Amino acid sequence: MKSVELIDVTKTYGNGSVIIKNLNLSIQSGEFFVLVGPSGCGKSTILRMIAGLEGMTSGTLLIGGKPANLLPPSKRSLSMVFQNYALYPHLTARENIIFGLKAHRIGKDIVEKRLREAAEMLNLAPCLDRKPRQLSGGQRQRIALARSIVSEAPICLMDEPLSNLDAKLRARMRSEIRRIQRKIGTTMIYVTHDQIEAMTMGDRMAVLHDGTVQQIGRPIDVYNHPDHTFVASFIGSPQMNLMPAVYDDVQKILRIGASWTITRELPIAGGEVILGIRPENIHPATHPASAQNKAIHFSANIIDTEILGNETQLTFLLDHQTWTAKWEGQWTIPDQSAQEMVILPENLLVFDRKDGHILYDPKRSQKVEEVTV
Amino acid sequence: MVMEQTEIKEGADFPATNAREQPINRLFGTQPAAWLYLLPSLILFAVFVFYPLFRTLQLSFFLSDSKGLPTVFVGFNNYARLLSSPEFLASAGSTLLFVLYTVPTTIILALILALLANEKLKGIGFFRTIFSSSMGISVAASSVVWLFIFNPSAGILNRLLSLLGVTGINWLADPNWALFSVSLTTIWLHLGFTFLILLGGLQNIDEHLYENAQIEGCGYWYRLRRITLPMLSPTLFFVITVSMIDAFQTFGQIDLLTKGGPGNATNLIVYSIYQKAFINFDFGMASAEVIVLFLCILLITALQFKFGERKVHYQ
Amino acid sequence: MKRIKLISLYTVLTILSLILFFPMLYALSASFMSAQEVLLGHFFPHQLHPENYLEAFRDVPLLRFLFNSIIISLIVTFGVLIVSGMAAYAFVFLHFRGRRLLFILFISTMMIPWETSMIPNFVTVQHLGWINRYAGLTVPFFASAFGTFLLRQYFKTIPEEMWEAAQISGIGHFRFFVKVVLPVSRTSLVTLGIYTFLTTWNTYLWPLLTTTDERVRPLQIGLRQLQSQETVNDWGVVMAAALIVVVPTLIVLFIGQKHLQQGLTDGALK
Repeated sequence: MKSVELIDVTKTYGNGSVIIKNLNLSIQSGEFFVLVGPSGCGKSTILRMIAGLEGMTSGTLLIGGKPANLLPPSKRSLSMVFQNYALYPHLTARENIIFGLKAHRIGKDIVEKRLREAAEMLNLAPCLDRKPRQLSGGQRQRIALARSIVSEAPICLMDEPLSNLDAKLRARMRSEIRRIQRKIGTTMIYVTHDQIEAMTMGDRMAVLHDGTVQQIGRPIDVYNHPDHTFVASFIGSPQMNLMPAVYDDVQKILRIGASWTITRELPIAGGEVILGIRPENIHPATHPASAQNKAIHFSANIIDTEILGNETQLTFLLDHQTWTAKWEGQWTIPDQSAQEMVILPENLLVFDRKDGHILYDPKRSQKVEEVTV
Repeated sequence: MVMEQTEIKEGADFPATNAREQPINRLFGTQPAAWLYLLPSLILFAVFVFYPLFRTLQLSFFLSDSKGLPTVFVGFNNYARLLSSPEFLASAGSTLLFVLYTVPTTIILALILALLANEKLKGIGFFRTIFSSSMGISVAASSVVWLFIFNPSAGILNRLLSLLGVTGINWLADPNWALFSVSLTTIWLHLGFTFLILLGGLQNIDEHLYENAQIEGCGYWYRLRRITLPMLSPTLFFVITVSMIDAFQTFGQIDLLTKGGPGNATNLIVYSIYQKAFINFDFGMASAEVIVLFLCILLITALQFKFGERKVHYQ
Repeated sequence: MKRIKLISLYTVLTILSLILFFPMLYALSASFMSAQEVLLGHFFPHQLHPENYLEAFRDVPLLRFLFNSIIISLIVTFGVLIVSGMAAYAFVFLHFRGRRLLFILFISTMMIPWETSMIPNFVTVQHLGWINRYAGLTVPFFASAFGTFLLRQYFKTIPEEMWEAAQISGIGHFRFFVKVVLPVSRTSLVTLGIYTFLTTWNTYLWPLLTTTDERVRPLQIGLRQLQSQETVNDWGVVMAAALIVVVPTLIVLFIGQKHLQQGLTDGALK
């Protein structure tokens, strides 16, 4: 297996638009690495640059520690799974899977063996002799995976491979791809716009926005400790509540809107900030959290409730701002009724209103110093 | 290996020209490959389309000897002689008349056929095949068959007329009827192709438009005027252009039916060129006439694009 | 009400079919008549005279002409498919400078009528020694702007990712062209093939100029020869020959009508 490193990579188009700005990524051998971001953030471009389908404007690409900028795609020891699978419609599933191997004049027994293994791994045996259009979306997806597996390339690139599947199948394929990657141990670089895929599949992920990396880290760390309001809002569903606030460092008061204040000392300079709290950290007053004496109590008018099975999503207004909360269990609350709620100060994140960077993260206080300096 | 940092070139017109990407391109070699794939077409076009075009232009300014080779440069003399010759003027007039006879009739008939054949009926495929069949019939075969139909004594047309008590017409030998007869043959011959294209155009119209119109209770003629014809306009536009160009290029029917006669009544322009070039071996005059034909066709295409396009609905 | 509409529709369709197909039916009927019967102006033969067909074969080497037409049409068809297939591939899958400009140049040749180049082409073919050769009858037609355009339209529907996937597995342009693009585009190749076959089979003026010899002469010119040889009395023979000329293309048309219609409409409009 091979590592992949991008050093100071920039990509611009002829018309001067910058797609990728000074990108630095280091992907370890055998790692499942997810590039996640909204459409147009440049994640697919990065993947295609690694594959050699697009050139870089400047910077260095190292594959297995060796410069690979000038290698053609076929010499970069990688395989790729495309969003639309790119299966050849005139070939059967079997022929599709071994198409590349045949071009490389790999021995017949080896081809057969790899095909058999891949088909077994993905339960493809019954549909090997059918053409792509006779197969379901999920089966096509598996064919594309199998094609990548039989190449035995040490690096596998995937570009939104699950986006054409229905929700149920997507959930199953998430764990299946993860399982296969662990089993054969390839270095996986996986592009998606779906934060759930990023959260559940990756060993590490890079969140991208406008051609720059916003944060790199283990999914759980990125979720719990977002570096930036963009990451905070992009990762997690429903998204984090982000509210403009002002911190008064003389009176040690955090003012949210006109009327709501939290009296609390924060290790930051006074000024305009953004307050962030995840919906699942806003609890009903009956929650055990309200027993803690540092708990912050407040009351708000519910404007909408959605019961999603065993959890309930509430929308409420607090000082003309819409907030979302997620409570366990099934809650039937009439609209426009006031509801007592509670939050814990350790779940409150404070971001800089100007550039969106994190100023204060109570559960990661040591790192905050670096950021605020 | 040290990678040098290259500044991004501003205003480069496409990404491949960026300094960093050029070596990759050279390595992939897309450019030389492209020319290799295009080479056969380019050579053939150069030899059999572009070179002859310029050669014809050149020949049109020369007199030619008995072998048809250029001898003396005469400037626009050939054109002057051509445009003042009554034979050419007659031939140009016949050609215009011929276009007028054939093009609108062919298209209207083909459109009626296509509208009928676009109905969803059992066995409609059979009718479609019959309607398009003249596309598979060559100029030579159809001319020979029509020659028989037009035959003054044995042909079916005059037989039918005599049943009605009308005196037979000398279809191809009567100067008043010859061009009409040739036009009739041509309309029949072109009906298949025109029908096929228009039917294709009709079938490309989104079914939902009709369903919606039906729900809103629009009648057949309203639908035809408001949906079918506007949606079909690109196809009609194409068909009109192609039919006009085809009509200007008519040759086979003339050669087999009338040989340009009687008295030049059906001496359409291409037949006239053929006679000048390959019977009289006057390449100079023939080339001048070719250039005139070329300009006419160019003009038609240009006019169609200018005026046709405005009325055309594009999807 | 619906029934009446249906019946009248079928009636109209049938009458129109009879009118349109009448010339061919009439020719078929006459091809089985004796010379006397033709002169009497009968519509149906009272007695079948199939010897007209034998006569047609005896008068001119019709079999030879038939063979020539088949060979010429097949050569041109494959020539066009290969040459315009390659050009269309370059226009879709290869990125080179001046691609748009060159494509416009290709398309512009569609506006140049064949007659414009007829005289110099005749001289060129003469110089090449291709008069009375298959080469002279076929090679000038290999490059087809229409064919390139039609195939390009189809090739453009092949997702770019397929070429990218091929690149990653180390498959070159030629292999991708032959093993993927051509098989995937089978239907449009068939359309173009049928169209080219029909047009070549029916070409009249060019073979008239470049064949003086019965050994390479195609059917169309053979028919002209037969017609000019025959006296007024032998219409039956001429009609028999005309039918022999028509049958192969009608068969091709009947088989390929659906393909042709779809393909030509796409080519005309996209």
